[in-house]
Amino acid sequence: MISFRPITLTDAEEKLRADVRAFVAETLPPGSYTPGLGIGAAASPEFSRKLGERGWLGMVVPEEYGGPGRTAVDRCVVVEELLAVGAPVGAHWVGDRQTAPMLLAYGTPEQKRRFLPAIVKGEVFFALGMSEPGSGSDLASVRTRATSIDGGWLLSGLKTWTSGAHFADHIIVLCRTSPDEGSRHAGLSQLLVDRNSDGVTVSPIKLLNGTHHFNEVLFDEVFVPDNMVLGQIGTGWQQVTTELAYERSGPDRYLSAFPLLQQFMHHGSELDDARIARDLGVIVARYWVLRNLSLALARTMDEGKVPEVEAALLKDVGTRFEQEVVRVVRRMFGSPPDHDGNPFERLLAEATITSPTFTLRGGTNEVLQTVAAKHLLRGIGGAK
Amino acid sequence: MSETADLVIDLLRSIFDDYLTPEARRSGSATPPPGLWEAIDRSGLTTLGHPDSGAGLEELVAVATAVGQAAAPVPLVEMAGLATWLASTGGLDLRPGLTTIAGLAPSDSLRLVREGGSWRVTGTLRRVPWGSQADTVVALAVDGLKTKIILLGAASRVSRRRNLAGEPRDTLTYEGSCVDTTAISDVDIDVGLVRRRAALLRSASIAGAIEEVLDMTLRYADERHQFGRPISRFQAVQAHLVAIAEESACATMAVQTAVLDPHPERGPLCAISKITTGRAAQSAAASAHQVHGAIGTTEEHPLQLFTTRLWSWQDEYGSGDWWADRLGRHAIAVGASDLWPMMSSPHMGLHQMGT
Repeated sequence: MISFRPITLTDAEEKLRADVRAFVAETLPPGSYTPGLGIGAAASPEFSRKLGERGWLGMVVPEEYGGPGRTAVDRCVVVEELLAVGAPVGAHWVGDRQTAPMLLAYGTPEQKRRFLPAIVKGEVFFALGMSEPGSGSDLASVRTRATSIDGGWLLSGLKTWTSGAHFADHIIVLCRTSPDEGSRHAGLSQLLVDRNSDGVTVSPIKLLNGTHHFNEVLFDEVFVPDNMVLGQIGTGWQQVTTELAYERSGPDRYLSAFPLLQQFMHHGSELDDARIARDLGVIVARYWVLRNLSLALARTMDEGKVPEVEAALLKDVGTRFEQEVVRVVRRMFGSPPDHDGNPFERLLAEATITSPTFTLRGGTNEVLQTVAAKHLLRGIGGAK
Repeated sequence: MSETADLVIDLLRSIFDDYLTPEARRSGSATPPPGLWEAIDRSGLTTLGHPDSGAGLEELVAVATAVGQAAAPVPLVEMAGLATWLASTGGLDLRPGLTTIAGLAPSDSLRLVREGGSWRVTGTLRRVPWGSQADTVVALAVDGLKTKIILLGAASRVSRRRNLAGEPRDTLTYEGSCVDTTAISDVDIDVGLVRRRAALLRSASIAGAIEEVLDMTLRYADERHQFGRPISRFQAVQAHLVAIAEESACATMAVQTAVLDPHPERGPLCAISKITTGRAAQSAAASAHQVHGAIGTTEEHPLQLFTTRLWSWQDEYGSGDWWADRLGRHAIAVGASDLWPMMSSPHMGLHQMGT
């Protein structure tokens, strides 16, 4: 039914880890940057480019398109090392995790040639235009529309919660290209939109603590040429759903709060073992297990399978664990964090304020549980 | 799983199928159903912990998992996984018969004293699995500053007790009982090693039981109709099903990573297994009962065979909290800079944890 087989990393995978760790130690010495929390970390095009130079972006892109031609496990190993230190992965994240596999699966040869090598080098950045004010969990209800004209499409609509749109070069927009005859999932498409096109307006959405990750993006009759349709017209829904297993199982779904834990531990002699040991042990145990589940999934995907129920379960349990880590660190620390205090306290303040997003971004846990339950019940022969 | 493990499990499961019938279960968990223990013993599974059996920790974890999956009322894990293994580690020969394990708990205090020309043992062993029915108890006793493995026969006083699942957990009191020198090992033993192994095996049984609980609960939710539809259609019920599935995945993964490690009993992986299965046991039992409704709380319904074991086993060989405290202290000792390297190292088991 549910199947997570534990894996042992190969010598080559361990060597990759050692290389990334050494690079991180050299490029991001403690004190030289502000650690972030998972995918909410800062965007640094410079850092992204350096990763690209070492072949650590777009790792699953084959050599034919300028990529390293490596595996999902390799990518996992790299991303773990980056997230463990809260590295500034914000700029390249969407392109690396989502757009590259999408282009490989659905892109035209021209699109692949144009974008894949640039993603690999960390030179082009993407954002996802999915949610709208009226369409969050129910993504099929999006109202952004594209109408066919000579040579392309005219795109109009409003997207919201678009992470990184303010520095992205392109936004991949889910839109309706034909009426939903019969099935509401029919008639949806994805367009690759140049952010600098006429008619595109990006406005920031500030989070509770004033930070800027999300945006509202208005498309006002934006022209998108035919050669910038991703995949087929009308198959947008299927395209979006197949990438979800990839999107849901990575280390970012359980490791976001780790820098906070590590910063707390640096308090060193101030730690009262008796008071905090148990809480800490519970956290460490959970990290170990979730890490192994995450790697098991990556290996399964490299074997060509699409572990839908496992990915949904892992994202649900992983993201709730991230929130638990924030709560437990607060309890171990035992004082209100000073917003303007030392780096640890600032990070605890940020973690507290942004922790609600952990179980919202990339699909709410409520939706994930419904997806997981559907598959679990199907697995016992009582098809739903 | 290894081929040996597969064979062992197939054999054990076929024995369970033959002897662990619903009728047989009605007699409770105090004694194994007629024929079950004899069949297991005849098959050689009771001495699987002996090095000559060709089986290793992986096979014993598989046995423990199968015992949990079947909620089998037999001291197979204790005898094969712990007692036989410990006796052979100490170079002691076991007589045939039911053999159990004792003296692991911090609260156990068995003292071995030389009086005149003989050895005598005094102290109380608590929660001994099937202690009152065992022919031999393989126990840890303290001789001065050393811990020794000894073989014990009948106790001076026996008090029959049970855990919440009705499994015998007897109190054995020894008041200066004589112990032959051939029944005392001269091998030094680290009690922490034995505790970690016991915790891992108990964790495997918990993980096995939770797998079965998940299966039962999914089927129940699918078959039970209310308001004109299966209750599995309700999102609030689905949340419980998902919770059990998640805990099951975590519990099984924790135990399996310990099996993959070359030396799990040296390090934190046993602690992680017990912590993880402890948490999983609580959550899975609660959600399973909630989905099953009232019928699941009856003695007649098979769910209680599993949940009473989850509630019992979560506290045996160290509760999740007890092990979490130890793992936490270990993490503090490892230090902040090495925390991630430890957690991502190929063999976390190599980090020797304190007792």
